[in-house]
Amino acid sequence: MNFKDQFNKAPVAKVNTEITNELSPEITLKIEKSKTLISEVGAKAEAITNDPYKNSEKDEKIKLNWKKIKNWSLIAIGAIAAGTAFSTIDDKGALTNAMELATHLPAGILSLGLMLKGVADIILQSEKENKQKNTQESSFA
Amino acid sequence: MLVIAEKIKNKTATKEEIADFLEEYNKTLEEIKKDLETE
Repeated sequence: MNFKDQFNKAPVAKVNTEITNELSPEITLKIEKSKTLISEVGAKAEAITNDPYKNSEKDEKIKLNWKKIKNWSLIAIGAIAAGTAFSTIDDKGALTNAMELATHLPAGILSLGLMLKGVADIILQSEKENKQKNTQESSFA
Repeated sequence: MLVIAEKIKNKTATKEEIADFLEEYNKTLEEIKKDLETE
């Protein structure tokens, strides 16, 4: 059995195929909703931030919510990217997906650089793992 | 949710778990949006 056959039979490949190739409509819908919500939240937060009559209480609320959004977004985007990275790494589709998702997040709300770094790290890690598996496979052949 | 996030990263999450994860994520965003709307 070659590497590709082994990879395709692994449970992990099944999960990733569901995300990427079959792209479950339910998951796609939820991702789309996330993107819309992040944009809406971003617009509201920006409006409050730019409000000349804002007070310290409002500022505190923004800071608190910003922290929540940032934490969740990093987890979600990282996880989604990790899911897509594994099976689409060959055609760089994962990176495109991750970038596409990232561009929907308002830069003022999220630390885009940090997020992209996280995504890139995950993709690179997947690539490294793939290479290691390939090397192991060829040494057994 | 962190447990599911970890599973997604480790590529052991099921499709249902990923959907649940995104559902929770969106709920949090809805809450934040509502919170900001009260201003």
